Amino acid sequence: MSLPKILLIGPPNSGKSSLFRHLTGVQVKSVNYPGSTMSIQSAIWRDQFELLDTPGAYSLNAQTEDERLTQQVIQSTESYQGIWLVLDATQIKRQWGLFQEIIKLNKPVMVILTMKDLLNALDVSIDVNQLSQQFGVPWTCLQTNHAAHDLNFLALTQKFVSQLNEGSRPMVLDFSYPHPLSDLDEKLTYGLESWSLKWDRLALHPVWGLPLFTLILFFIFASLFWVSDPLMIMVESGFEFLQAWVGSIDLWGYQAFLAEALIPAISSFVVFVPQITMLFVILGFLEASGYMARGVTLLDHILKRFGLSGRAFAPLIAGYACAIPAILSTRQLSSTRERKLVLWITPLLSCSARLPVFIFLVQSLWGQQSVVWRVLALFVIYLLSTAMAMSAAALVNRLLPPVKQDSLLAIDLPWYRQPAMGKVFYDALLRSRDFVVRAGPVIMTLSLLMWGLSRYPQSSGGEITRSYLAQLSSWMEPVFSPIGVDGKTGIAVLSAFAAREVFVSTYALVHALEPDTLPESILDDAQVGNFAPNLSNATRVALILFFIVALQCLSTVALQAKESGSWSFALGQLFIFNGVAYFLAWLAYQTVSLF
Amino acid sequence: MTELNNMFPVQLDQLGVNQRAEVIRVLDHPLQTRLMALGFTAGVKILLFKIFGGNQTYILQLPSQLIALRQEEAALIEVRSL
Repeated sequence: MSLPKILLIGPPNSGKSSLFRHLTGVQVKSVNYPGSTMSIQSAIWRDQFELLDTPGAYSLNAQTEDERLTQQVIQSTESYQGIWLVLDATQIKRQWGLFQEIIKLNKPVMVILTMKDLLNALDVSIDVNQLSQQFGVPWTCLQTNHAAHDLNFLALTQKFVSQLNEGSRPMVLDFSYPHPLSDLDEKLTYGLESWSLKWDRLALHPVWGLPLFTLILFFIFASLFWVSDPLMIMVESGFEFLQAWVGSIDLWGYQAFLAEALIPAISSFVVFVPQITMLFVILGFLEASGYMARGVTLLDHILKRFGLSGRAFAPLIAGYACAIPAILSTRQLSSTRERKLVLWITPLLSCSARLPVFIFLVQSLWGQQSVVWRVLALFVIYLLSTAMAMSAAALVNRLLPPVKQDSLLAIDLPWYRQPAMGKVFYDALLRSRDFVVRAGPVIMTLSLLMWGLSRYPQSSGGEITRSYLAQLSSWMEPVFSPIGVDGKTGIAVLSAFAAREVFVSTYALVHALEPDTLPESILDDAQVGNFAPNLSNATRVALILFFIVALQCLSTVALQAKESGSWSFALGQLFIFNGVAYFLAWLAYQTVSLF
Repeated sequence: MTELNNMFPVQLDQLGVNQRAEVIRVLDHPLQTRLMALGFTAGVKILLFKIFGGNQTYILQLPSQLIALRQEEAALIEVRSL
C-alpha cells in the first residue's frame, strides 16, 4: 500500500521548512513535480506518510515562479491526501487569507501554528482546542525545533494520518472565517512592534538607511572573499594531497588520469562550495532576520532605473559568488520580464571563478605598486562588472516593448527576529548541494575534455604545445592576435571555457612556470616579469576586459536555457557576450598600444 | 475645515509622514491581489511611517506589520485621512 502524501504549505518564513527539517532530518530527496522544471523536497516520516515541502506562498493566487509551483501542486488534488498548513502564530492576521483559500479546497487540513516560543515570551497563549472546534479541522501550536518530541503534535499527527488512511473528509463547521485572534494581535503588535520599529527608524532612515545597508553589503563581500578563503585553501590542499598520493601509487596505469585529470576536475568546482555556502548562510541570515526585505526596499528605487525591482537584489548578489545559484534564485521574481532581465545580466556579474584570473592579471600589471593600488584596481574591476551588468539591463529594458506596470514592490517587512541558525545552515547546504549537482557534472566533463585535448596526441616530451588544444589555438591565432594574445596564451584562454580559473594554471603550464612563482592573493608582493613574461600591458588590459564580459561557463549556458525555457536565449547570450568581450578587448588593446 | 477634508478620499501618496488614514480601496487589480495576500484590505488603518529615495518609496505601518510600496503603487490606493 502506498503511503499517504501530505503537502506542507505556508507563507515564506512561517517555519514550514524548519518543521520539515526537524521532522525528517537528513532523509530528504528533491523531486521534480510533473510539468515543472523546479523541484520540491520530499521525505518519508516514520514509514507512515510522505511529506512534501512546497515553496513558500502568501496566496494561491500565484505571483512568483515559486508560488506558481505551489499552486500547481495544490491544484493536482488527486496527487496528495492531506495538507499541513503552517502559519506563523505572530503573523496570523496577515496569513488568514491563505487559511481561507486552503480550507475551501475541501481536503483534510491540519493547521500548525509556529513560533510558540515567541508567544510564550510575550505571555500570550492560543486556545487551539477552541479553534479546532470552531473550524472543524485540527489546530496545534508548537516550536518547530521541538516538533519531533512534541507529544500533543505527535498524537494529533497520528490521528490525522489514520483519518487520511480511512479516506475521511473534513467537516468544516464555520464558513464565515472571521479572523478569530484579534485580541492576540493587539498583544503581539505592542510586544514585537516596539523594538522592531526602533531598529527600523535607523534601518529605513531616509539618509542613513542606505549607507548602513552598503556597510552590511561590504561585510558580505569581505566574508565571501576573506572568511571563506581559509576553507577554500583547506579543500584545495586536501585535493592536492589526494592528487600527490594517487600519483605516487600504482593503479594499473590509471594513476596519471586520476591525478592529473579526474581529481583536478572534481576539485575545480568543489573548491567553490565553501564560498557559495557562506554566501547562502549570509543571505539566509539576512532573510530570516527580516533585514533582507529592508534591503530590497532600500534598493528598489535605484534598481528601478534599470528596469529591475528591489527583489532582484538577492539573485544579483548571489551572482558575485556563482551564476548557478543566482539563476536559480530568479524564481522568486514575480515579473517574467524582470526575471528575463536578471537572467540576461547574471553572467556579467564577476563570479568567484573570475577572481584568480583578475588577481593574476592585476598582479602582472601592478605587482610592484603598493597593495592599496592593487586592491583599488580589483575594486574598479568589480565596479566595472557591475556597471556593465546594469547597463545591459537598462539597454535590454529599453529594447523590450514597454509595459504599464509589470513588477511590483508591495513587500511585507516582517518584524525583526533572531534567525534559527540551524535552518539557515541547513538551507545553505541544500542550495550548495544544488550547485554541486547541477554545475558539477558539466564542469567536470568539460575539464576532462580539456585535459584530453591538452594531453593528446602525446609527444616524446609530453609537451602541451603539440596537443590538440595547441593545434586549435594555433588555428585560432588570427582570432587572438588582434587582442595581443599569442598562441600559447590562446591555449590558456580556450581552457578557461572549462572553468575560468583554469586560465591561470594552464598559462603557467604552457609557459613552463613554477606554480609557486604565481601570486595567489592580491596582497602578495609580486615581481612583475617573474610571471606573465610574454604579455604586454595592452594585452593584460585587454584580457581583463575580456574576462569581465565573456560568458565562458558552459554550465551557466545550460542552466540559462533550462530556466529561461529557450536555447536561443542562452545561445544568444553566449554569442553576444563573447562577441562584445572580444570587441572591448580589441578596442582596449589597440588603444593602450598607442601609448 | 480639516474634518471636512478628512471626509474625502485621497491617494495614499498625498499623505505626509506620521499621518494616519483608513484604506478605502485599491484601484489596480494585480496590486490589490498582492496587497490582499499581505492582509492589506479596505478598512485597515494605516500610518505613513517613512518616505525615502526621493519620495519613491513609502513605508506603511499597519496594526501588526510594515509594508513597503513604490510611489506609483501608493498613488493607486485611495484612503481617508484620519
